[in-house]
This record gives sequence, structure tokens and C-alpha cells, in this order.
Amino acid sequence: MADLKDTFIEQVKAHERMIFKVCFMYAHNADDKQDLYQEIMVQLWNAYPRFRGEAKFGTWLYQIAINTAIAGFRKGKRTVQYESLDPSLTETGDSSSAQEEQERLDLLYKAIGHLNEIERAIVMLYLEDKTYEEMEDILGISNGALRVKMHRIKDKLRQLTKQE
Amino acid sequence: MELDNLKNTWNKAGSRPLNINIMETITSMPKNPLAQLQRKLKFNFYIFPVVVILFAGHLFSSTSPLHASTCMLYGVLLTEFIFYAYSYGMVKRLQQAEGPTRVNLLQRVSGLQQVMKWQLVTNEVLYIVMAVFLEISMRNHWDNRFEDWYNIALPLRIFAYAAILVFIYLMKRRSNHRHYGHYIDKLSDLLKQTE
Repeated sequence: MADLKDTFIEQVKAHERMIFKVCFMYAHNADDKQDLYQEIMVQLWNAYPRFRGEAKFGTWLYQIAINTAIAGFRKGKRTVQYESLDPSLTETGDSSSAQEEQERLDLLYKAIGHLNEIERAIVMLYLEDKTYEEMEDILGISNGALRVKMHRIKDKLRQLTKQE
Repeated sequence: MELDNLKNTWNKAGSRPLNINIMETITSMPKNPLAQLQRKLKFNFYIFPVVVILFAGHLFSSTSPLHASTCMLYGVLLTEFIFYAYSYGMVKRLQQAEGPTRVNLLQRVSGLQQVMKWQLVTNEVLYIVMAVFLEISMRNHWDNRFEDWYNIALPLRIFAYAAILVFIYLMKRRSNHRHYGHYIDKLSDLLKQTE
């Protein structure tokens, strides 16, 4: 049991960034993020004894994290208050062009917040540079359908950023 | 601004350690909707032993006889208990978040609909069995506590049974919708998003 826990912690720590990003994508305030992080961890730990290594650990982790975020998580309050991705990381400098770039990034991020849960999962995996095959393994949506969805999402985001 | 412009910023985010105690986190109580439902179902487990204890006097007393209707009550409660055990196991299984999202959503929706359907059917069948058993027991004078009810004309009794049956159906459907309905609607909506 102690070995299992140690291996689990080691593997999860190596992929902690992924969990953090799922929380960031689906929870919109600090409390919800913490609750979702906790819920994902509980689900991962409960499922870990069944993990046989048939899929990559990252794929398995993404499946559980996304499934928990969209189907197994009750948000505190359904108000969309978007926080910046991480202020220290999105700061691009003091110049006016850098500030403009920052504003456009914020705009795009807000637009992502208007997408539905599945579209947000697709965007997240796209930003993570996952191939369509990997996305298919995680989401169970066919490669062709994913490409069509991605195309529509990009159009939708363009329109949303224009409207803002 | 295109989505690809966000990639660089996105890939830099979350690279700092979170300093969260994982062991502490995994031992916490799950808060998902199915875990809450599971806790409600667990509560129903306690009803059976409580009722058995309440009526246990009949089992050990030689002066107060064990009525046929009491036996029937135990039978009904035992069936309910078995059903809740089945639902509990099913809801516990449905909390597993493994597998591709679409498959996981399909399993949750069909599993919950199955629990809901069987809950409705079990309640209706148990009620009909109770009504039939009561009629047989009155006809054979097994339990004299229902003599007054037996003196009412049969068509009126049948009407009363039917009215209660409809009432139970409506109440159960309403309570099912309150417990599972919103969540099933949400899951169905998510499933549509995957199409």
C-alpha cells in the first residue's frame, strides 16, 4: 500500500501541471479550483489500482480529470468570473504593444470561457499540442468530428473576440 | 488574435510547483453529485434495521402474536433494502471517471436511468403485492385488524388501491426527478456536445 501511494504521488507530481490546467479551464474562482483539484485527486487515487498501463499515464490522467471536471463536479456558484491565466506568466512587458498583446490574450481567454464544456476540453488539448488521435483517445470523439469541431471553435473564437 | 497565439502563454502556465499535500487531498470526502446521491442511498440502509427493532417485540413475545401484515411489512422492507443496496452499488460504480469522456457520459446516463426506472418499478410492484396480500389475508381472516376495511365494498377498495398506486407513482417520479433528473439532463446535454 505504501509503495502504491509513493508511486501514485510520484506520477501525479510529474503531471500536476495538467491537473492545474484542467482546474483553470473549468473552475472560475479560487474555491472552485481547490474543490475541483481535490475531486480530481480523489478520483485519480480511487482509479489508480485499476490503472494497468495500457494507455499512457498522461492520457489516463486527462480522461479522469476532464470527466471529473465536466460530469462529476458541482461548482459553488455558476458565475463566470475569469481570472488571468497566471499574472506573472502572461505579463509581456511595459511597452504599449506588449500591453496591447496582453489585452488581446485576455480577450481570447474570456472568449474561451464562452465555449461549452466539450469545446473547452478540445481547446485545452489543442493548446497542449495533443494530436487528434490523442484527443480521440481522451474524449472518445472521432478524429473527423474533432477536426470539424476545432474548425468551428476557431471561427467561434474569432467572432467572439471581434464582438468584445 | 488566433488560438495558436495563446499556446506559448498556456504552455508556460502552471509550471511552478503547487505545494499541495496530495496525501491529505486524496483522503478527503468526494463532493461530486453522485457521491452526494450515494450518501442519501446509504441513509436508506438504516431504515430497515430501525423498523425491525421497532417491531421486534412480536418476534420474541408469546402474548402478542406476529400478524401476517407484519410479516408482509418485513418482506417489503427487505425487498426495498435489497433494492437500495443494488442502487448504492450502481451509483458507486458510476462515479468511476475512467475511460473516454463520451463513453463515460453514456455509462452515467444509462446507469442512472436504469436505477431510476427500477426504483419506480420496484415501488409499484411492491405496492401491488402488498394490496393483493392484504386482500388474501382479509379473505382468510389471518389478521383481524383490517376487518373494517374488508367491510367496505370491493369496487371501492379497488378504487382506493388504484388511487394510492397513482399517487405513489407521481410522488416517486417527482422525487426521482429531484434526485437524478437535473443531473441526467446535464449529462445528456454534455453527450449532445460530443456529437
